[in-house]
Formats: sequence, C-alpha cells, structure tokens
Amino acid sequence: MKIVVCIKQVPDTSEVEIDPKTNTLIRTGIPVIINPDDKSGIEAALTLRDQLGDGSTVTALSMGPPQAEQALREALAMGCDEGVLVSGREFGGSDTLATSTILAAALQEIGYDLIITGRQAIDGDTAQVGPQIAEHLGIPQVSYVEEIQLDGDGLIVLRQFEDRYHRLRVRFPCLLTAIGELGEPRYMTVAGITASGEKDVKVLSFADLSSRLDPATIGLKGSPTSVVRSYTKEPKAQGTVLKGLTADQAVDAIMARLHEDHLL
Amino acid sequence: MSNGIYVFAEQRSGKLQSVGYELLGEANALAKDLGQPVVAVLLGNGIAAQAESLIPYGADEVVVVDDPILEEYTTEPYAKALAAVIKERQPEIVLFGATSIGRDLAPRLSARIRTGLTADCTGLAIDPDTKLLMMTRPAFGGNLMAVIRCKNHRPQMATVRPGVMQPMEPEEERQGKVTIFPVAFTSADQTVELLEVIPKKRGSADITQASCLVSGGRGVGSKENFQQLYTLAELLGGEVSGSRAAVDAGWLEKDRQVGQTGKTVRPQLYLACGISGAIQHVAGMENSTCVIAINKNETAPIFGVADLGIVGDLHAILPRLETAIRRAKEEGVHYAAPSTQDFVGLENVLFEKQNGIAYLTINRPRQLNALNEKTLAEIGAVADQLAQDESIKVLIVRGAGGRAFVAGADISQMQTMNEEEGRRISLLAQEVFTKVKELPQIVIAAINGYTLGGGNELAMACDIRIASNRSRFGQPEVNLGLIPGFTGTQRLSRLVGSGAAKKMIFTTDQLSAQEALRIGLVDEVVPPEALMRTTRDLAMKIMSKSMKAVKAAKRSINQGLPLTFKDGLLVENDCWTECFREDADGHEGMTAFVEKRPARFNQ
Amino acid sequence: MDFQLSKAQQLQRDLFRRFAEKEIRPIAREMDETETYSMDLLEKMQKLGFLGIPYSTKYGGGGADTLTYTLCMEEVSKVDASTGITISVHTSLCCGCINDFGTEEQKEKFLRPLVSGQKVGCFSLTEPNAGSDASGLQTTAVLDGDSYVINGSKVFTTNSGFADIFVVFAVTDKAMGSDGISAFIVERDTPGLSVSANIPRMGIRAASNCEVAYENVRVPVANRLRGEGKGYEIAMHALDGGRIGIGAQSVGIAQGALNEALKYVKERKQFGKPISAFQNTRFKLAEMQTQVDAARLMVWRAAMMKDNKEDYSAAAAMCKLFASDVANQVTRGCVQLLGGYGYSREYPVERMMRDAKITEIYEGTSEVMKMVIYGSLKVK
Repeated sequence: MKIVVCIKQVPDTSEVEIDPKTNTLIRTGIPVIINPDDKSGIEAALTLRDQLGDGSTVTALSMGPPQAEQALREALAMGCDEGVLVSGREFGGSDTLATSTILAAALQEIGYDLIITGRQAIDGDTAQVGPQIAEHLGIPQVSYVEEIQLDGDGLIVLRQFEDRYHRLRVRFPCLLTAIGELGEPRYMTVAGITASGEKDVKVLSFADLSSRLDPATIGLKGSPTSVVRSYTKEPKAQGTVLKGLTADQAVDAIMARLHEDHLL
Repeated sequence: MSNGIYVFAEQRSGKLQSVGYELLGEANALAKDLGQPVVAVLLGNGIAAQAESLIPYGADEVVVVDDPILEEYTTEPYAKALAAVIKERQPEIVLFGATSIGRDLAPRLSARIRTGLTADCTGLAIDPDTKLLMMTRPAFGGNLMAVIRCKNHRPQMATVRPGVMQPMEPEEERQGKVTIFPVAFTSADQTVELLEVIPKKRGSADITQASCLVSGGRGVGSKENFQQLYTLAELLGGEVSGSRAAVDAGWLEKDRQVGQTGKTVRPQLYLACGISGAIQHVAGMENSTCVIAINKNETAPIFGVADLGIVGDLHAILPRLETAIRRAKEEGVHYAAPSTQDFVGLENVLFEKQNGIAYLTINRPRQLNALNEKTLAEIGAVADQLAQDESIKVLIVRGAGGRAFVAGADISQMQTMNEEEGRRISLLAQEVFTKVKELPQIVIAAINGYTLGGGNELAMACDIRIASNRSRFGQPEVNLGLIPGFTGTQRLSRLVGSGAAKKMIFTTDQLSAQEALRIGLVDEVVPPEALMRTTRDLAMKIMSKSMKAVKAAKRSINQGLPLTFKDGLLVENDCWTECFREDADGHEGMTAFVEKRPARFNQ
Repeated sequence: MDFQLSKAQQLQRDLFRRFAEKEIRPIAREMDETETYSMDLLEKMQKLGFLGIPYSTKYGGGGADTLTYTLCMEEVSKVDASTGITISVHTSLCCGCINDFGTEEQKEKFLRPLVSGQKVGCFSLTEPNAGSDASGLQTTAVLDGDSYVINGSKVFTTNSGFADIFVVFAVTDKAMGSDGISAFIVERDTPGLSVSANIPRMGIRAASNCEVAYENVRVPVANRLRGEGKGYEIAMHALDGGRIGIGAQSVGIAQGALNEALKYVKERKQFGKPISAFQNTRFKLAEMQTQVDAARLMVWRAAMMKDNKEDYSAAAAMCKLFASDVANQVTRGCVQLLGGYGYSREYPVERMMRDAKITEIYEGTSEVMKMVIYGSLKVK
C-alpha cells in the first residue's frame, strides 16, 4: 500500500515576534519546522506502514520553495521511504484552493492508497487544503482524526468534534486529516539523518504536472481569494488596575472583559 | 445574478448551535449594507419543525433539507445537500461556523463549486465601493491579521469563529418563510460508515494545552478554597493551575504549577487569583492572551502584566463571578454589560444603569443617531432624572449601531423651520447640553464613528471624550448655510482654542481621531474593540476615588472656566473648603494616608 | 573555509536541540539534586543513536562525523552538563579506544553493542595516586596462561555506576614506565570487579562517578587492545579526542547559562526598567557571547581536523583550555547578572556554574593542556 503524507514547512509561530518599532512581524531568524499536525500525520503513517509490514511505503509530499527540501529530509530521517517536493514559480501565490489543486495533481502523478494531511498549518491556520484535495480526487475524507486502526480494505478511525466523537469506517482510497492527539511524533535518529543524506528528494515542477493542471487554476491567477492587506494587532496596551470597587462592580468589570474578548 | 446571504445553521442532535444565531446576526448587519435577504440553511433529520425558530433571529427565509441520512454529520451528504442549494440559489455570500463541522464541510464545498473560502474569520464587512465581502482573519498564530476578499468567484464563502459575532435580539413579530428543499440521496452518498457516536468526556489536566487557566496562589488560602477555582475553570472550559506557593502548600498537584520551575503556558485567558506574580511565576504565563488578576495587595507585581487587575478580595468576588458566568451562559451568549432598562417611554435613546454607572445610548442607528427634537428632549429628561440620582456616579454617553456617535442634527426636520422655530430648537439644544455639562456625575463620551455637528457638540458637553480610531469629527454647518448652534461656537473655541475652532468650522474639514487627539478635542484614542472597555475601566477607576472630591473638582473646573483667573480661585477655594466638612471625605482620606491603610470613602 | 553546517548537520543539531529541550530540561534539576542519572533518559538516547554518533553504520553507529558529535555535546550540555559527560566518556574515551585500536573481532563483540545503543562504556584510567601523571599507575595486570589477572583500584570513573564495558589501563611491565602500560576491555560482570557508591561532588552531580576495585579480575588475552605496553599511547590518543568533546561540553554550558541570562534580563525590572536597559548588562552579554562564539569555533576547528585526519592534538588541547575557561567565566558572569535568583536553586545558572568547574580539570587539567600546547610549539 502506498501512504502519502502531505507536509508543510512553516515558521515556528511560537517564536514569532513583533518589531516594537515598526509593528511588523520579524521574519528573519525564525526557525522553520515541519507543521506539528503534519508531523502527527507522519507518525500515524509510519505506524501503519510498520503494522502492515508488507512492503507498504510512506511518501512525504510537500509544496514549497526549494528550501522546503529540508522538511522532506527530516521526514526521511524520521523513517519515510520517499520525499517529493512540488516546486516552481508557477505555483507561487496560490491560495488554499489553488494549492489543493496542485497537490491533487501531484498525488495523481505519484499514486496513493491513503493520504494523510495535518488538520491545519500553524502559519495559515486554514484547515482547508486537506478536504479540498479529497474533493478534487473524489475520495472520502475524515477530518480531525485522533485514532486509526487497520480494518481489511480500509480503516476504522476516531473523528473528534467539540462535543463528541464519531467512530467511522472508511475504505481506501481516502484522505484523513491528523490532529496532535493522533500520537507523539517520533524523533529523527542519528543514523536516520545520515541515511537520509544519501536519498534524493524528487522534485516535481509545473512541467511534470502540466498535463494534469490548467494554468488558470493555479498560482496567484488561479486563486479566488486574495489578501487585500494585513496588519499586526495593536501592541498590547498597558493594562488597567481597578481598586476600591465593590465585589459586584469587580464582577461586572471581569464579565465585560470576558465578553468583549470572546472568552465565555 | 447571485443574490442572498446564506448562513449554514449548524445543529447537533437536533439542537441548533449558537454559532448559527451569531451568523444570522452578522448576516443581517451585512444585509443592510448589501440590500440582500438573509437565508438560513438547516440540514438534519426531522429538523423542519425547528426552522421557524430561526426567523426571529434574522432569517428572511429558512431552507430546510430534511433526510434520515443527515441525522449525524458526515461530510458527503451534507456537502451534497448544500451544493444543491448553492447551485440552485446562487447566493452572493455563504457563511459557516468555524467549528469542526464547518471547517470540514466548507472546504469540501469550496472545491466542489470552485470558489474561494476564507477560514476562521473574526471580522466581516462590506466594502462600500466594490460591495465585496471583506473577511478579516488572524494568521501566524494570531500575530498577524489579514483582510481577504474573493473578487471574481461566487459565492463568497467564509467560516467564522464561534463566539465572535453578535446574535440579534429575537424579534418575535419578524416575518419569514420556510422552504423545504428536496435532495435525492442514494446509498452511494454515504461514503463513510458511522459505527458509533461517543460523547466526549472532559479533557485531561494538561495545563499547557488549556485555552483558559484559573490559577491560584497563596492568596487562595486553602485546599478547600481551590474548589471554587475548579468550578470556575469548568464553567470556562479550562483547567486549574497555580503558583509554586500553592503547590508547595500541598493545595495543588505539581504538574499544575506554572512558572520557572513549573510549566510555561499561553492560554487565551489566565485568571490569576491571589497570585502575587513573582518573576519566576510571570516567566511562565506572560504570553497569555488576556490576563485578569485579582489580588488584595495593590502593589502585587502580577498587576504589571495584567490586562485587567482587580484590587479586591477574591473570596467575595469569585462566588459572584461564578453566578454571573452561569447566568451569562444560561441567558445566551451576550452578556450585555448593563441590563436594566430604567426609563420607560423613551424611544430614541436607551438608558440603563448598573452598579453606579449609567449608559445613555442615542439609539437611531438607521439615521446615524441624528438629533431631532424628540431625541433632544429625551436626553434632557434623562439628565433631569440623573441630577437627582445619587446612586449613579458616572454617565457614559454613546451611539448605537457602531457607525456613528451622532452624525448631526436631523436636517429634514429643520429645513422648513421659520426664524422663531429655529431659535427655539437652538435654545432647546443649548439647554439640554448645558444640563449634561452640569450633571453632578462624571460624564464620559464613548465615541465610535461619525461625530458631526450636533454630535460633536454633545460630545463636548461631556467631561471626558474617548474615541475609537475610526471616529471622524466635524462641524459641517456652514455647508448648509448655518452655524454650530447647539453650543458649538462657544464650547469648541474654549476647548481647542479659537484658531483651531475657526479652522474646523470655516472649512468643515473632518478630523480623524488622531487629529482630534492632537488638538485636544478628544482625550484618548483606542481601537474600536477596546472602546467600551477603556471607557468602563476609566469610569471604574474614577469611581474608586473619593466621589465627593471628584465631583467638587468637576464643579470647580466647570464653574471657574468662564471666570477670570482670580474669580476662578474663589470658586476653587469654596470647593476645597467643602472637602473639610464633617460629611466630606477629606479627613478619612488624609487619616488613611497617614495610617498607611486604604481609605474608606463615602459611597 | 566554510562556516556553514551541512544540511545533515543542521538536522542533527535540530534533533539534539529538540530532544534536550523536551526530554532533558524538565528533569535536569531533579537529576542534579538527587545525584542520580535517569536510566530512562539514557535508554531514550540509546534508541535515537546519541551514543554512537561518529562511528560507522557498519557497527550500528550513527555514521556521522566528529563535528556532529560536538553539536550533540553542545546541545545536551546547554541543558545538562551531566548528560554531556555521560555521552562523552562513553563515546570519545571508551568507544574511541576500541574503534581506533581494536581488532575486527573486538569491534564486533564490544564496539557494536556500545555504538548501537545496547551497552554503555566507561574509561578506567585515573587512580588515587595517578591523575595528571598517568605514568604513575599502580594497577597491575599479570599474564597467567591465556588471561591477565588485574589488581588495583581506580577512582573518578565516569559512568561506572551503570557501564557494561570498561576500558581499563594497567601496568604489565613496571620497569618500562609509561611504555609498560596496557589496555584491556573488561565486562562488568567479570568476577572481582566491584563498583563503589557515587563520589559526592561539587558539579555534574547527576553523572555516575565511582571508585572501581579490581581484585583478581581475570581477562582473556583476546581482550587486550593492541600489544602489551601500548596502553599509554591508546589512553593519550583517546584523551586527545575526548578533549574536543569536553570543549564542546564547555561551550554548551556557557551558551546554556547565557541563554538563561538573556531571558532573565528582559523580564527582570530594577530601578523602573528591565535590567537589559542598563549598559553594564548589555556590554557584559556582548562580551560573553563573543567568548562563547570564539570557543565554539575552536571546537569546530579541532573536530574538523580530526575528521580530516590531521594531527589535532594541540588544537584539541587549545579548544579545551579556552572553552573550559570561558565556561567558568560565563557561568560566573550569568549568576552575577541574575543576582540573588542566580544564586538560588530555582534558576539553573548556579548548577551550570558548579558544573563548569570540572571542565578545567577532567580529561587533562588546564595546566596539562598548556603542557601539550607548549609541546606542539617545538621550542628547542
């Protein structure tokens, strides 16, 4: 069986800082990592492969600039069998719909039985690309998966909602989106990194996918949505300290704050 | 031609989810700018009976797809039903809640229809020029806000973060229709097999994952008292954590400790109860989105990192907070800060009182809160009542609707007036605004949006003006062949100086909030979402002082201002002397200062 | 000249850093206070290949280079210097001896389990009366048939509390002085080998460091490394490599303390502003980071010389001499910047300051380093 895990290289947003002078994001020097949900997806895929033990393989697939190769190398060092990078100027500026169109074409190109994506990437937080890929490929999807069991020609998965779980059976081919609860991702190993250095990351360019892609559906031009402007939030203002209030007044002040900050 | 704002009204086990009401409220706001109907789409099994209940919350039409296959949410049947509705109705906009259902369904649909989708929006607006939907959403872990549009594809689709938008007050008499929309399902639509539905138990106690932490320190006092924190945490959907002091005292498990030798957390809400906030503790929680601290000691360092600090007794506050949260949850998402309508018979203004603060809201949002004779009279009536009401310490004046404070006087009413009628309306306004100015209470204007003509004059009648950064100020009268006649020529020149006043009046140029701040027309500028909070916090701060002294100071300033300096000093001397009366606060304040204890002023 | 780490080296560093932050940091303080090394942690590191980094994949090692090994030493030592020395003694000293001087059979039998994460090694050289002067060893090994009988006692043997394989140095011919010393591989369960309780110490308190007694310990001739009398040369060679590891450990300790200080000075307010606003703080931090960077470059140079099979003896001594001094200066400076809190056990810098001291002592004191460096100057 061929398992493909879609991964994204993202800046570690917990390290993102705002320049207090210009009030813009400081982008330089921020470490890049494999998106955490995607890493859980890798772990799930490797576990499934090892359970199958029948020559099944795990391919890590990513779209991004040439530097994203490092994320695929990390996936290889964790134990993936193959890394594929979709990269090219034509793909730049894609929104989620265009990105999913490109990745769906790449998936058709390399073949798949099971596709696992992370639920969402920590830089964009859209959670859209996985379900959109599934729709392009015409295969069922299950999002927010936190448990996977093999079951004959398919899987039994536990799907998380805010208030409940669904236990679902889904047949191959299908797409799952993984969340952190799926399992702590394994570390790379020293020998795994050494070995990954000898493997090649395969690069798919626009030319490789051109028979499957309408140029009007990819890149900046093929993206229905566009960013009009972006801004950093107002820097956190000096807080207010209130004293001499009655207990009821204090509760009013707290409730008003909870309400305004959507914390209830 | 696409038409209509469609809202996916999510239901679970037959229960409509609050996010659906929130989306309807927001859709109605957008509909006003777009002039299109609001349609709710309700999918489920045996759900049609509930469709009607969406109409009072703002649905002009409810489209229902009712089928056994829609009993529990699975992707394909829901996607198929909604795709059918969208293909037939061609909506302009479709909104979903950014829930685990909406965020599964909406992207699947967007790919099927090939249109754009913006995830997890926290703000929606219609661009006045292009009529496009402007979708604002956080990115980079909330460090960046992006405004996104979908120019050439329809519908424009967005998932919207639950809890952000405001539902409407239900209007029972509101008219709307229910349409049953048939969709033919086959067994092939069931692409996944639902084996089991399992209710969710409460999550683990991993404080690093919790979105809300109720955190206790030495001030909580005992292990038993921590029970109150657990109750609050459960109500807020969070966890309990604590400082090292609480852990060392054996009140709390070690894995709930926050700080240098504990864990580093960054929840949305960190409610610090009785935590002093030593540097080792602060290092573990300073990146929390919102920190609310309650501590008896006003010099506690925790107040240095708190967004809201309450100096007070947590044992008195927390049980009341629990009650308030329960009430807010039971009564729906919106905890309206003030809730009691004290004045019946008012039509154009709302008047509410709560715990010493009164709110006067000019409530003619469709007319941008323009002042007509009736509105002026109602403001005057409220001022008369307030002048007698000793329980109210601060009055906050604001405009309804979010677009204007007050955009001016009602021109349509004045255009036919003769000379005598013209004189009368000016006299009325001058009298009302003088009443406001002379109220014994401290009056704060919370300004958001257009503040023009009579609006600017009303704002100037207040003691302090806080403006959102999207406010605009102006005196446009000379465009109409009039002059500012509701106290404007006198008040503006005294407030900002005659040069700036003349420039503003002669040119009619509108000032941004920042310019208004620069010339002293307003006293503070804040983002719109912080306006009411800042205003209320200011009110609370003032109320924590000796109100007798504050009121005397107000009188001294107001009465002295039109006088010569020398005569002003006489007024000041009188007001100062009042502070030494037996029933005044001066003795208590000075004694407390000398005894190094908090003062107990007259309430 | 190329100061850029390769892609593989960058990934290895990511691995070491993430592991140290996630697995070691939370328990470092507790290990120090209980003076106990976590066997659970050791097992995790064995599984990921931390104990065989620069050795051939042929034996189950990591197949990486010495520079990668120094990256590991720095990253773990940033968080916990005891972990640094545990890995270093195993890797540089024990495995180094067997890898560089062992026969194919010895490598199969002993190096494979060591570098593939099955067993832990230690290096049994120092004696109560022979520290810097290794030629003064008193432990003896006497040939008896097809085995040697070892008698004597060793002290300060790192990892000995849990090590499976000991490389032991003993005198086979007293008349020959340092040329009469031989090296043997001894398995822990050999009768007559006994390990005392941990020796209480000032720093690196989590590391295992005990006295080892050899009473009629019988070791097959096949366990001798190289010929009789080659022991001193083997020990000195292993220590040359070890010093690169200690240099890297020193850099790690210093950088770890500096990182704590950088975090602290932003948070701590005195006289109404964060202490990072004071010029003294800024200059101090700038000086310290410069020192640490210089030390790191010296460590990297020595590691690259070793990888390039150049004579790295003096370079290794220089990097250890300099880096260990930097570790002591910087940790002391950081404790000072943190003031009373720096001195308290709530912050890790006091531990780092205690840990730093040993880097000037073990695997050759700073004075010995100077002797080695002077020797390389070839002053006639």
